[in-house]
Amino acid sequence: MLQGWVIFITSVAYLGLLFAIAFWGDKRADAGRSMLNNPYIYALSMAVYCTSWTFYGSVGRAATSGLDFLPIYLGPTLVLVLWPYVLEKMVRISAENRITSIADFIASRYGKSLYLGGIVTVIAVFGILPYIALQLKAVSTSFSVLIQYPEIVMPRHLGRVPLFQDTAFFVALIMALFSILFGTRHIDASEHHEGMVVAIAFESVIKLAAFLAVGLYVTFGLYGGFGDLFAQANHIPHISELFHSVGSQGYAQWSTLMVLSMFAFICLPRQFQVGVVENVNPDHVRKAAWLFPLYLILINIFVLPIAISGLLQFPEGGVDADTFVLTVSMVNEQEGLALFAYIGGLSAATGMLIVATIALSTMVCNDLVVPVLLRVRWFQSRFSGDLSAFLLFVRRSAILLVLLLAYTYMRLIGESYALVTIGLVSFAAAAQFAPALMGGIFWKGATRAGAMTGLTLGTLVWLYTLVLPSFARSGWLPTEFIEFGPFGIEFLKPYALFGLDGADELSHSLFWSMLVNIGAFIWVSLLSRPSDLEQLQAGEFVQKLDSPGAEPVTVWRGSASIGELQGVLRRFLGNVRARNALNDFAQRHDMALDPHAEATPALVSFAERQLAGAIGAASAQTMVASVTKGEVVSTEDLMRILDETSQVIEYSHELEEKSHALEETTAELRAANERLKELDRLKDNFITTVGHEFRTPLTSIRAAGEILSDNPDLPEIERDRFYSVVVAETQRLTRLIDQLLDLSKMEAGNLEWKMEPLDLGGTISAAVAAASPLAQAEGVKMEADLPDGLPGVFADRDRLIQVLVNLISNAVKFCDPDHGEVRISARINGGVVAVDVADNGPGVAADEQETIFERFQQGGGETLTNKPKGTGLGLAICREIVERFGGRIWVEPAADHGSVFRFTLPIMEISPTA
Amino acid sequence: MAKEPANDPDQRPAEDTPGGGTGKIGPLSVSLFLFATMMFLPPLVMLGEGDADLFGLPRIYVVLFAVWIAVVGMIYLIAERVDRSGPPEA
Repeated sequence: MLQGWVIFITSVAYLGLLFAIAFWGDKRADAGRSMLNNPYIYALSMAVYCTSWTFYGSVGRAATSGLDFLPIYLGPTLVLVLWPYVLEKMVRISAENRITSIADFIASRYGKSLYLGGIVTVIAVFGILPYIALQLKAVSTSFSVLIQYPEIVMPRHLGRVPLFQDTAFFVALIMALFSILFGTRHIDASEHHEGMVVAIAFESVIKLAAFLAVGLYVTFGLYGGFGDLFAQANHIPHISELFHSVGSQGYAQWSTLMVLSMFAFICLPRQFQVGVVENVNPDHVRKAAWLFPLYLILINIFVLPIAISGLLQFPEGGVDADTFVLTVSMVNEQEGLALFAYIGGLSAATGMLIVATIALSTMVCNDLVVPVLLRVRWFQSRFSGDLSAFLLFVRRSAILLVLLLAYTYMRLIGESYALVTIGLVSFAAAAQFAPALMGGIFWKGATRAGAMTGLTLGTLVWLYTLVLPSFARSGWLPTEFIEFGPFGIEFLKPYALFGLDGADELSHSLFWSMLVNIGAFIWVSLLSRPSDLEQLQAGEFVQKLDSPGAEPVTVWRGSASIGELQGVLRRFLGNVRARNALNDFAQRHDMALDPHAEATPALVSFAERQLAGAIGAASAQTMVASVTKGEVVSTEDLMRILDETSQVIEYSHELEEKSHALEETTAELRAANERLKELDRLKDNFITTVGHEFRTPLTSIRAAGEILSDNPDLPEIERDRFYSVVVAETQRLTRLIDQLLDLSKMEAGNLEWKMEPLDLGGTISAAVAAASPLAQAEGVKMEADLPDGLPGVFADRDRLIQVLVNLISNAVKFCDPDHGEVRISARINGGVVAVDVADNGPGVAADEQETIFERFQQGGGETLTNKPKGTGLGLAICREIVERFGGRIWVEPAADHGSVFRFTLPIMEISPTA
Repeated sequence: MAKEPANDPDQRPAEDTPGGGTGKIGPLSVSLFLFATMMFLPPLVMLGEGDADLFGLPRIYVVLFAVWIAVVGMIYLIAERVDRSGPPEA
């Protein structure tokens, strides 16, 4: 017989076991052998997602609307598919910033905003409170049902249970005690609650085992396996239709539930607590990513069979589907199984109660109470001492308050609601955090104003389209405004806002609230300017994946003495912790802790992070700012630091460019100087050479003149000879001066050029004709080999002839004295025509091939003993002329012996003869 | 109170934090996410509906759990069997 005392003793024993496990977990952790360093514990603790709503409610939902209990569990699976991007990223960010709750996370991301943290906390408390109430109600109901054994009586027929006979009340108190004992051990909320997490993991095992036990009993004990169960159900149409379609409540609801559960899985404060805050190693996420969905599959496999068997066992109805897990065992007189199922349900409820209250109390303390108290002056003056005890007191009070409020809510709302609806209302509230949260870690442009507007508006829509109507349905508000809209305004009807009709109320609410939330979030973010600290935090959060090992940016610049920082830390962390933390830091950074010395920016940042773990990022920033003199971070400062840095970088960059330019200029100058020196040398050479060239004929003339004047009676013949020397040398001088003038005119660009289209063949023939007497005089054989159809060139005819005559006379001068031969030829070569003047003389030495085109350089060089045969200017002039015509002149050795002087001229497009 | 190295970001040596680059895991995860989302949402999920049975069980029931198990299997393979130290995607 299941006596009341048996159930009671079992419950107390189970809860006692829970305490013992938590105590053991904490002891182990204190001994340095933490259980949390185990991914399986982490994955199991995540199963706090499965509350009594899963345990009892899923079956209830399956019994009434079929398969659409499933999306609630498919959603988390989908989120965990993206574990490297979502959960692991959040874990890394939180570890580095000592995040204590989802409110802290969002506040910290958006510039450590006090207000944002406060708003998130308020929404969370009001959104989650009904959910906590739901757990208490489940405990109360299951106890009431079980205690009637072997009768099956629904609680609503039993009348109200007096307060002090209500199991839920005691469970609430016991859970408050548990949370206070194991949830507020440390002042630093970012530290891990080892005992609590181990207990939650244990509970996850118990509830899974209990549910599987009931499922196995039903499927294989009551019926002959899945096939038999479904076959029997198939005969009853209203049961059969439950498991052949996912759209019994509409596909919109199916999809909505999936989206909602995806958001809830990361945004529910208790999921954030176990999944992010309690994580000790980001690597654990990897294992949990497949372990936790596996858990979900296991706990869901028997939901439908239990629901069907309940419907088959109680064909006349009258039994709440939410109690099938218990009543199916009870009606078949399985006392032990019923008790186990009850314990499973209790563990599902208590797990959620513990984690949710701890998470909420941390948020209430860090993001609501502390920020307010820090602003109240009388509080500051009255409580100037150690505040760590006070903080713990606030958290413990918050735990008790949350649980008692939830209990009150549950007593008030009574039996007016089905379990599942309350859970979904809470999910929808938590989903409002999703845009700010996800946008915060993926979009740098998201701003505080955007997050605040989106959150607030989305929550208001949630309130209007989901919560207010549910109040009305509970009879607390007149129902007219649901049916006819407020003040009779039709398009404001909460279940059909702006005339959007046809969807279920949940999809309707989620659609409108998300539209408003995401829309406002994006638009206001785009239109508002983030503060500097916001920008900094945005970078920290969004880029976490790119540089996981990077130290958090040190932003503090104002001056605070180490003593003052110690004071602040001591106030909030307590003496021992503060000292340990600072000593630790000092040791690592090898510095002394002189209370009067100025704290380094790194130390100030360190202190801020330590504080953040205790009182949240936003308050920590405020507190450190209160002791840091000067413009603290005064984020303008921060920006200036950044600015200065970037300016320095820019300056140094400019400097580098300038020095580079300077180097280039220096090189250019050096080259110019070299060139000038060279020119100077050339000028000296030129003068020397010109002087020398003038002197030779002058000496001859003077000698001849002196001879003629000293010897008046020189024979006629002799006299004529000397006269002819004078004439010849004078001619040579004149030629020299003419050429010099020509050359300098050409170089100075003063010479007049009569450029015109020329027939090259004709011009060459004219030059050959002009030079032939000279060749004949020297006895040199000269021949011209000119092909037909030589092209036209664009040149000055006289100058071109001058070049040719010059080359020919050179060739005649230097060719073989006995069998002299000079050969002139021309041929087309690509776009140019090449003219060759070849001789069979001694040739030009290789090292002189370039220099002979310079002024006063003649073949034979220094070693030439013969008297030079020319002025030394001819080839220089030729080069000037040819280059002027756009051609090139050079010398190369001939095939056998002698040399070939070759110049090219560009071909004119249209031959002038054509 | 116990303090593990991993607990305290200030004490966590840099080499303890595994590389943030997701290597091939990132693209694989995203594609699996798209696949799973499509399989679980209308219209694809509607293909499993109907009165026909599979192994004597309701077809949609079998299909949903089979896909679910397959997805979890894929997560397992990606998380545990794919080398993470590949070059981070651009």
